[in-house]
Amino acid sequence: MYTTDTIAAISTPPGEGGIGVVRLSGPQARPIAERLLADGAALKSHTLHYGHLHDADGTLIDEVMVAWMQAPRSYTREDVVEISGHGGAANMQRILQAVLRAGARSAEAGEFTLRAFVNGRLDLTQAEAVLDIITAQTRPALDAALGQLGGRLSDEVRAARALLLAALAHIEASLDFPEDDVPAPNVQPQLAQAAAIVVRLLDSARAGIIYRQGLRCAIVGRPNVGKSSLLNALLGVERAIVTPIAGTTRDTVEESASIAGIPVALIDTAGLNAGATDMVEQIGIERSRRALASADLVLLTLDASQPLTEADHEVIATLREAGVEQRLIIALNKSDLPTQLDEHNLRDMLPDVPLAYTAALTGDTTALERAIVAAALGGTQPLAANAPLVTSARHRDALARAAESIVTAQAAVGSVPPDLLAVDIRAALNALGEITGETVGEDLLDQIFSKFCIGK
Amino acid sequence: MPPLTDNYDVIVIGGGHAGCEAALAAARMGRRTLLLTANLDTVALMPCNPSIGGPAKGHVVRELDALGGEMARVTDRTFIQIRTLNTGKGPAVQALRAQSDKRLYAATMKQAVEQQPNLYLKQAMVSKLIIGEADGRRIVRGIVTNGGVTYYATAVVLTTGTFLRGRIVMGEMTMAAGRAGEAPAVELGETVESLGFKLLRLKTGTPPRVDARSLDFSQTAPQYGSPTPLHFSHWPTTPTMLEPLPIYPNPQPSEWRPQMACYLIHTNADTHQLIRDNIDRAPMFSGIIEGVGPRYCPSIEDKVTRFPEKERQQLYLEPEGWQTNEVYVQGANTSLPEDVQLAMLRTIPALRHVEVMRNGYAVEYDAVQASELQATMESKRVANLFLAGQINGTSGYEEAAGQGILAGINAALRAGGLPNRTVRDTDMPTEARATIEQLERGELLILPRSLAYIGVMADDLTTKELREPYRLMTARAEHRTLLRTDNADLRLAAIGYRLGLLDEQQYEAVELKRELIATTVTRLSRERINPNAGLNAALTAAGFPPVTHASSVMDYLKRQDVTYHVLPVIVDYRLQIVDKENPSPTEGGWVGELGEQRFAPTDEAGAGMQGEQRFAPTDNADAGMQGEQRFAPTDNAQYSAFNSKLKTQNSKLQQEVVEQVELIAKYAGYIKRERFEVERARSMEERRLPADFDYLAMTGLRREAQQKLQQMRPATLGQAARLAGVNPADIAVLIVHLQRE
Repeated sequence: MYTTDTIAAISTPPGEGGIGVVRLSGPQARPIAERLLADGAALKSHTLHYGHLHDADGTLIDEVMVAWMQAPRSYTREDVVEISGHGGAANMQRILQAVLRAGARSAEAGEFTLRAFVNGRLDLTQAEAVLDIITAQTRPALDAALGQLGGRLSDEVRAARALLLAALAHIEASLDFPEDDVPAPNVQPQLAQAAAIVVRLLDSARAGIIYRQGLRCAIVGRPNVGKSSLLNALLGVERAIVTPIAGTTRDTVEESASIAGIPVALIDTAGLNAGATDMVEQIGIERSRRALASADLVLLTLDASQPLTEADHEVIATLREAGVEQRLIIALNKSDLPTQLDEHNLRDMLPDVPLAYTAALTGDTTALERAIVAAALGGTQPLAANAPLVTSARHRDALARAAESIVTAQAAVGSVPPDLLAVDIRAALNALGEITGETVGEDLLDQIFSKFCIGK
Repeated sequence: MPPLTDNYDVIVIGGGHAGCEAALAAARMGRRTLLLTANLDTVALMPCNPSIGGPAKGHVVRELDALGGEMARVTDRTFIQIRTLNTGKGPAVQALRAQSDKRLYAATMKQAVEQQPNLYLKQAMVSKLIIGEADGRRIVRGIVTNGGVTYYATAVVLTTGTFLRGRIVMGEMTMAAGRAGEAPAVELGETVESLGFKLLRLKTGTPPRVDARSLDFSQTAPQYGSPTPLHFSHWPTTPTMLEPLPIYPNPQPSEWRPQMACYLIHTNADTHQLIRDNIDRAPMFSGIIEGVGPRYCPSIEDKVTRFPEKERQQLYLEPEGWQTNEVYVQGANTSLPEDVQLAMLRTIPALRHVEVMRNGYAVEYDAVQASELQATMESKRVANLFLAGQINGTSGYEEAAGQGILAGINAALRAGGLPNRTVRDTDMPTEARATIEQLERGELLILPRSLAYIGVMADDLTTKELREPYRLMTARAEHRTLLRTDNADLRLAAIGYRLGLLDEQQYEAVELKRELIATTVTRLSRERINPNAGLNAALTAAGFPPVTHASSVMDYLKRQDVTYHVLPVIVDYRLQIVDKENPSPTEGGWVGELGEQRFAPTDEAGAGMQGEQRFAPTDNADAGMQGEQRFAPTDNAQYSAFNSKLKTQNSKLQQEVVEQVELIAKYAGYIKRERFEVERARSMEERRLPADFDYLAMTGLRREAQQKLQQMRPATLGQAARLAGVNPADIAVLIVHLQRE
């Protein structure tokens, strides 16, 4: 609960709306924003800034609006930066992770309000209200954490912690009792085992956030490729109006499906028909474009029983223009009919985009569902039924820091003296301790004295 | 005749390691100080092991010295052996460890006490504390001796060691005693208890001492001291050395001063069997001892029982002085009966015919609980009453001394305030600066955890409930990389000076060192070297790795296989170039002569040789280096002379600067990270909590946190956060309540 560093959190509720906000507060808020924005130096206080957010390694994350509110004219009276991005859960997570990697700390529950209060932004008479906010937000969060701690997550974190603690205890025993016949520590095996656990948990964290918050998947394609029937097939119920007349779907239809346990908001868009003149259809198309921008995944539906049409090419061009190739999956629908579409030609246009044959009308969407899960989890394994689930961004932040420290420690073995190696192992333990609420202290000494015969 | 009475500023009860440092600090700060001890012949006695230092403990001795304490100097003057432990395990845990001549140590410390102006040393048993009341709080006013004499004082420091209701145990025998042969402080113990102090019962032990004449040294492995000079003190003094008795073989071949050896031996299966056969007679197992003993200092019977798989245990035979037959058997702590002790020792080949001079025994005593104490060492229960040493549940001479100086300083501050001195705004750690500012605002001295092991200990003693006697370990410091023995002076000397415990010369020497480190680092960071064949040949010939890419000298020094000794090699190489290619080598003088000359970069416009920057001497007038010659490398001869001086010169200051620069080069990343963590937590550490906060009435706190906070009454938010049972959400709630105050 430090009050002088820079904190960050997603400040919009998960799973809703097309826009999400990541908020930063603290002295590093602006420097972090500057680092992540291509033209961040141009940020002006209390002015909306349009730009592209990049990760530290230069990968484009999102097209964003950034507001910098210079201290003290902000909610917390500290420098505050609000990054508004497209609101999918996965996208918000990407923005938050980038901000955390750039030096912010994941905010505790109620911490923005606490800072506002500490810095005199809120009236002293509001203290009770502030306390309510802190306790109301903290207790459930803690309960949730403790709920998880009763389960496998805590078991796993504790297992990793025990390994690291044993490694640290051995090093510490050799440092504090140099004449006590303590065997030379070899901590590599323990570090490797701990790393494996933490990496596994991190994978589950990535998946866990997707499993908990779900993702938004926009279904696009020219009229009459079977988008609505695909939607129905994925939902398993008839919802959108399916007619053989092209352009039937005028509005976007949003439905929640559960695909292999992942909540997926499926957004059926009006046909991405650039030439539409009909007023209603125009409005529908505009909404489609917005749905596209806020989606975590875009499902391009093509009719496999026909060669690509001019309209298909237009849709593909639109998608490439919108820069959604990274989030794209191609559904080759109507695969129950003889295939006419040239897959090689398609691959040339959209290389590296996952591709699945479906037959929406007969309900065969297995391959597509697999492709959606794979894309959603970004290469991580789908969760086993009894896998520990890391769903809190704070826990994930802590796990990421632990993993980083363990990797540093593994590289440091043999190349730096043991007292410095201990610094990295301690950092990993502290990070894991943020999840379990344990600090390195007496338990370290217990380890030292129970494992090693020390004492002169 | 009226009853005898007198007035002092500070009274220290107890003349052990805590008491001596407390009394010396108070007197040096100008307070009229009385040091009372039950026995003038046992001032600064080392009743257990004859060694001082080791990891964390050695750090404390260095810190004491940097603050103006006495232990380091007395140790330097009286050791029979000194070594550096943990060489090769990293800069943070390297520590000095000395074997002292016990009697010489005690006599030398007593002499320091006796020679100290303002300090009065008297023999008396204290039976009562005089307690008054001020501002609704109890406050100590003085003491009464068992002879009925009353001494009044503004502040009292209690350092009673193991004497509070002490009881020693050996086998089936127990007796009331603070140490073997010395009466316990029973009345004072009752006084402390009647004041309501919550006490706990602790236990510690000591091994037998054996006669050197009865040992077979040929069956031991001798261990020698350092072949090169080592000192605990930053300001070394002349040692007092005696001839070792001829009964000790293997005299230390040492050029810098005579030293004695210690001797390593091992227990064996017979030893362990004998202990097991008699375990029912061990007081720890028979239930005679109730106190909790330290896990880091278990008795030999404990070790054999708890680690049965261990086939042998190390023991060290440590002479207790230059001219005594008494040898301390390190590692053989025991409270077994006398006959078992002897039989057990005689199972070891080197001790086959051993004669025991003193038996090992255990001692049980009272200590106050952590909730009674503040990080200033003042008791919460009684104002102006300070506690230090084993009464606070610690063990170890160094721990006692560290608390002693802290208690003495704060008692002196309470009794008279700060002397008039100005500390310059140098590049000291931010917590040191903050600490000095707190002192100047009239607050007592609290050493932050990130600034000193003494601070780590004081904080632990006030936030962690004791389960066993407390010993410092480097593992207890969360920012160990910052708390090194090599930088104790850079961390603490300014505070010692501000308090009046160091003189101006000592202070200026430390600040000069700080400045030289900074300028050298700057210079070496700007100086570039390139991978060229000539330079690499020279480097390889001197045993250094070649330069593989253009970098600063500082970056080259980051490599683990490069030491500062590489600099003369680089300079020599440059000189050749200068001779050949550049008749005017003015730009070449870049390696400053440490400790003697200062160089600062000139502007870059002058384009130095091979694109390197130029350095020219700055004005020395302001640096307190009057009388030193300014060096201007204007011709080759002078420059060469300067370089050879650089290579041969071996001043203490130069060595220390070199050590720091090398350390900064190699460990900058770790140090920077730890500093970042410290800075991040600083606002929490420095945020004070009101002493009268009613935690039980505080909304938003969980019940467990309420009770813990009410019981421990932490001084700062940082301390509150360290209490077991207080979580981050509770701290957030505390912050809100603090704001509302």
